Amino acid sequence: MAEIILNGNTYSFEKGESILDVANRNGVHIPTLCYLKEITPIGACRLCLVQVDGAKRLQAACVTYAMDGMKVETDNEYIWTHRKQMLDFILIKHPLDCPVCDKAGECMLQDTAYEFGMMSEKVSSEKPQDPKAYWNKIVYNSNLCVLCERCIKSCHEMTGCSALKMEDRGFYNHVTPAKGETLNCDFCGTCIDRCPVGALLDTQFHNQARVWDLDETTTASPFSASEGDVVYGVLDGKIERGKSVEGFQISSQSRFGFNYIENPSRIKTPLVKSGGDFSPKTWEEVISVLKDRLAGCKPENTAMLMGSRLTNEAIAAYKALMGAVGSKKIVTEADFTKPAFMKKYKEKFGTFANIRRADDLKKADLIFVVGADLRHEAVGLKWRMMNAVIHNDCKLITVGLKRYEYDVFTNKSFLADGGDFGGIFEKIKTDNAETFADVREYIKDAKKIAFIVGNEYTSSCPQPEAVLSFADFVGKDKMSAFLVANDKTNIYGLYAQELFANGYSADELIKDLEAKNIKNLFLVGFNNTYTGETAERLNNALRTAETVVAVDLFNDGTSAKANIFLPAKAALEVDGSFVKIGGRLARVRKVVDTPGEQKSDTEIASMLAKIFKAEIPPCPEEIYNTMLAGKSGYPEVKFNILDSCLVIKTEPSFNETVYKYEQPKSGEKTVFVNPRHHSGTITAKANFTFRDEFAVQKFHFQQAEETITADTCESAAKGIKLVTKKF
Amino acid sequence: MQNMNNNVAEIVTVNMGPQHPSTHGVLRLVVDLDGETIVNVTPDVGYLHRGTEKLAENRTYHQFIPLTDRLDYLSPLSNNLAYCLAVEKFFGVKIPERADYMRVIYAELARVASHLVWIATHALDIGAMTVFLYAFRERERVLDMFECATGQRMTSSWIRIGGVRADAPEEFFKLAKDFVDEFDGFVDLYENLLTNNRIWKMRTIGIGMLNADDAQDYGTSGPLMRGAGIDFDLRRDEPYCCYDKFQFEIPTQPEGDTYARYKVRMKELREANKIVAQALENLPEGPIMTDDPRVAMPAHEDVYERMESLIRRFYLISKGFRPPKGETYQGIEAPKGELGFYIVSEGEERPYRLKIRAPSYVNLGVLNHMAQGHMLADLVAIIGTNDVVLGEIDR
Amino acid sequence: MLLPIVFTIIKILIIVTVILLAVAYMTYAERKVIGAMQVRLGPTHTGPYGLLQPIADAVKLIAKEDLTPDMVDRPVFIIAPLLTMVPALAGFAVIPFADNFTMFGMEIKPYITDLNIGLLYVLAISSVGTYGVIMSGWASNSKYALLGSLRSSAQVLSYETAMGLSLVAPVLLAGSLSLREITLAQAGMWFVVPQIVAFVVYVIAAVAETNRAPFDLAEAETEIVAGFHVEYSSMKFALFFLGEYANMYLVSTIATVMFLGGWNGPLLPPLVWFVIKVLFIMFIFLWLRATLPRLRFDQLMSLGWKVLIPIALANLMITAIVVHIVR
Repeated sequence: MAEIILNGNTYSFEKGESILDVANRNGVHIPTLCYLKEITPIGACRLCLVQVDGAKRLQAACVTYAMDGMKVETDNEYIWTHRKQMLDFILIKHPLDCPVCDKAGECMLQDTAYEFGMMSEKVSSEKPQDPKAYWNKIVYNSNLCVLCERCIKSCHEMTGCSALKMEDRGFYNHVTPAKGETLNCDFCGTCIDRCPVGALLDTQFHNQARVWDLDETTTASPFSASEGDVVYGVLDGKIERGKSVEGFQISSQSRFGFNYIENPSRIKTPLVKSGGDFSPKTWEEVISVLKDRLAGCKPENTAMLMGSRLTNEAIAAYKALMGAVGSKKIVTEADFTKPAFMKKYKEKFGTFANIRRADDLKKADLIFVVGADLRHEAVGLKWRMMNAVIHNDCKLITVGLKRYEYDVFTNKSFLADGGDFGGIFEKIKTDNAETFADVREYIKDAKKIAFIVGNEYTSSCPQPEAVLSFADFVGKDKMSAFLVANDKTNIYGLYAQELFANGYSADELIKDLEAKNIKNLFLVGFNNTYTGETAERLNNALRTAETVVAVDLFNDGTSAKANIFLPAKAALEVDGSFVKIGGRLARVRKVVDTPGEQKSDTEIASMLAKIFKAEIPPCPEEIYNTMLAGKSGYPEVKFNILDSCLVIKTEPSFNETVYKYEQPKSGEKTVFVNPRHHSGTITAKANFTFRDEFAVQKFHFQQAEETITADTCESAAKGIKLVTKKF
Repeated sequence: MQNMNNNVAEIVTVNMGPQHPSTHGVLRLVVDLDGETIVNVTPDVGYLHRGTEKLAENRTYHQFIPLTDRLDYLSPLSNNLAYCLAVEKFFGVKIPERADYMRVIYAELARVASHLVWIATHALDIGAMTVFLYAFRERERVLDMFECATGQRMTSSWIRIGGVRADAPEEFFKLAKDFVDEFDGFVDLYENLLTNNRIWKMRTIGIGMLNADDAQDYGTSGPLMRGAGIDFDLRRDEPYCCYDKFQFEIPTQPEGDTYARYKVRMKELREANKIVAQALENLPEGPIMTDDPRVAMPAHEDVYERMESLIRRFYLISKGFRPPKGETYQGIEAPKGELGFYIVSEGEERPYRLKIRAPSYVNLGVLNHMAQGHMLADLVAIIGTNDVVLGEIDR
Repeated sequence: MLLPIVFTIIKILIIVTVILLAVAYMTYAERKVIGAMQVRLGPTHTGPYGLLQPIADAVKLIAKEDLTPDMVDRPVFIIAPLLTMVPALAGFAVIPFADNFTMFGMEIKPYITDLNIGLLYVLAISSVGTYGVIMSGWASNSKYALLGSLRSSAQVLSYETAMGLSLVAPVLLAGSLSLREITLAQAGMWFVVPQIVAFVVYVIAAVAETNRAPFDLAEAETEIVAGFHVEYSSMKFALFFLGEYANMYLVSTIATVMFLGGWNGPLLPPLVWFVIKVLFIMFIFLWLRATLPRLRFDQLMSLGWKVLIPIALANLMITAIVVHIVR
């Protein structure tokens, strides 16, 4: 067993660990500035100097491998003198910006300088005064930069974007975008979170508030299903900034898109349509209107369309509401997003939930990304995938409609022309060309193989079971994770509560609507942003219902067709839980109060249930404890101890998929994709112009419109047109 | 009006309310009288309670210094000194010499100021109005000196953790030298008016008796104790700052009555003057703030020009330093007695508990004992000799 | 027949006006003189050198709200200040301010009347003033006021004995109770020389009579009881104050007449000498107030009974023996 001696004490270690790793594991304190656990060590700051017996100079503990029998001192006066000198060098050129710097209060340089007991600099020097560089939503102040390279490395290793690089040498060394004049990356803000000083900051929060004045709340991201939890800082009832929980990353939507709750077009009071126009009413009036209109409603005439922005507790409450009505006609957004594929998925695995966790990607040896443009659909999966590639020596194979931005890391990238994913898989199974033979080698050598399947595949491949059959080829023992990337907030919650393929499908609903069978229709959080034939038919058919009650945040979109509109609280304003990719049960916490008289979904469900003489508790805690705990795989615990670390239990099976490859028909296929930084109406609403006496402010990103074909873009597959949706 | 001993005494309860010209501050006394004789005096305190000790639990150590000024507001720099010494004990900070000397000068001038108020109000209560004005004339000079050195006449918060806020200008030393040379003459003036005055002696000798045993049992300190014959002074017996470098006497009187305490305090005025004179003469050059990085606030000029100083100041003010876990106590010889600060730290930047041992609070407890059997008119004299200040009692 | 009455009325008016003005300006002088002793300025703001301060005080007192507390004995409450003020003024009826002089061919007598028992009259009238003190304390319906008034009246009664005894000695020397006769008898030598002991006793007793420091326990602000006039305000309070100062003037003029030779003195006109001597005694009052602390009540009483009265008695006996031997 290899051993190392730190300050006279002996510790064991494994090969490949650095001295710093051993010290951290055993509670020996070595100060650091540029070290970050999630990335490979940098060794730029030189604050972790230690004295190694036998070496003439002090060594940086983070980049020195521990050797058997090494004797290391970490805490004597000689070392501290040198560490202080190193810090002195950093501080010499650091401008006196603490009073005006956003980072003050959470600045590692401040903390380290104080911890070291630095009193005064020995050499005075002129401070640099270069201008700040504004890269869209990220601002870089090179005067404050300590050149620790954390941002570059974390962007390179954790996000797969590699958007930053170092430029020039010596005194002129600074960070700059790798491609072009300004940044064009995911704007996930990992570099902002990792920067130890105030060199990289986000422009939306710039100069808005002091960090110690903010009340911080950790909540699950209301935008995407694949990222970590978000910490929102609130000042005077207004969210000022979002940042990620330590050790995780969040997407640009969570970081910059939280202002949708303040969009001026947010509905604040219930609305009732009379004579073509919505008129505001109070809650009491609206309840009496509802009582009149819903009186005598029969179960077979009542249906509900449920959306994916709802928390688990809201879903349970609405389900109970329909139970009180006696109707089983619930159709959710799950019917519109990958329905055919998910049905085949269920046949194979026996469940709609993902197989294993998102974090299992990190341990994979070989990852297949099948038709998933992760940047637009599930940024969180991309990071874990990159983690595996960089740290685990994982092999990466993409099969898609275009080459993705992390193409440099892929071992093989295949283009499925015309959506012919099945053809690629056949080739991999049997073709003798070297590239496909390599893939078979990879599969043979790998022990953990993970699959990610996304929108491009399910929209364009005519045989959805192709990839499932390929999973059979790989083998049940080697398959370590199978994840279906989805950009909707709580789609997995809908799956988990058995609301998909439960006997009533969207087609049946449309038939009922067209036959004027449905008199009362509830649209709870449902916004039809889908494309495809079913979605269009639904839009047309909605008019036939007599009473359409919509519960949502904004009343454009599908809710415009409602007669009665009930304003709901957003996910940032309620308590509850979401189910994220991989089955993680994430806790949603209330961050701010609502700007009007909105009520939460559970309260609305409770109010509506009273009309039908049923009792549904309005409080999410009670709903979880009574209706969800222990059922459908939800953990059997009390709601108030949920903390985003528990998972929904599933017991997947592994059945053989029956499949025979057929050549797809020719002809151009149109596939609709999300625009950059947007995944739905909520993020679209976060981009609004706000005029006050000082400035015109716009929040979040604009929706980019682009169409990609093989003619315009050389990394796109043939026979395919990728069109961005408009939310 | 006085009942003879044979009759059953009829106890009349009279209230000397919180607003009264001769109770030094908002002190309420409930006096039980048998005719004109006092049977029982119950002090009722709390009218000036500001929650200082609780406030300390929510402020950093540095932020608490202005609150200490307001305890014994007649000698504010003394309170600063006691608190800063207690906090410095946590770290074992070494204070530079010049800072120590300056601290002694400020503390002794504060003693002079406090005793001048004492003699002024004590004499005024007993009826000699003129001494009040003479004493305040000298006090004005002391306050002028404070203003010259610190910018504030009374609550200056000048003594900081680690040293003194800044060095005093040349003018201060000139004023101080003049004052020190002339002050003995002024004390002679007061003594002329009072010490051998028949009426003064009639009003103070034998009034408010407190013998040495009782003084110790009740826990009194300061002139109350020394006027009863106990020879103990923290400056000589448990020296703090650099008091062991000065020559001064500790006056004591064995009688234990008001006149004895009067003599003790008059002598203390002279001795304080002597200490200030010695300190001014031997004042060394050097820095006035320690350079221990754990507590020292960097110099103001540096903060505008040097990065470390800016970071240090930013950190110390917005977050505050964290003493190690533990508890300390430091008492000093304040003009009224032993002023002590007991601080418990849990390793946070705010104290877990801060208790102030206020000398006036303990000394007030002996008021009843001293007033037994005297007449109502003597009560004023006894309050005066007790020399309480409500800021300390109520905190 | 009418003329003497008219003259008397004119004299009364002059004397009362002068006394009241003098009383008012005595307050001013007190503040200035004591201020000078206490290193401060006194009034300087109202009028040149603050000379209009008493006018300002009078206006203020008149303009104040005249409160009568609820449970007082109303007639007694209202009469009490009068009973303090009026006897003091009435005492001036027999004081001779200057020697008789002729003007416009008429003999003017600068005194209202010359009773042959003038001194007895003065002592009697000033004793009536004590009633005012007791009545105010009683009528105020406040135990502090009652306590203060009882103390004050006890003090006054005790010291009156000493005062009376010390005043009998000059009477023996002059051989008459009429104040004019006594003044004339001092043309050669002022009685203060042979009767220095009586003079000192008299001055001390006078200070106690008028409730002035160091014998002002009854009305001291810093004591527990604020005095017998605690419940009074506005004009009634003003009357008490004026009564006190008028009383001071009265005892000063008695001292001047009995011991300092009245209007006798070389060079200057008699009236001027009179005024100088009265003001000198008043100055002693002020000086004592500025310098000495206050005596406690029992100390005060023991001083009066155990010290002053025996000394005055002894002095009287010695004087009587000497006069008998000489005559």
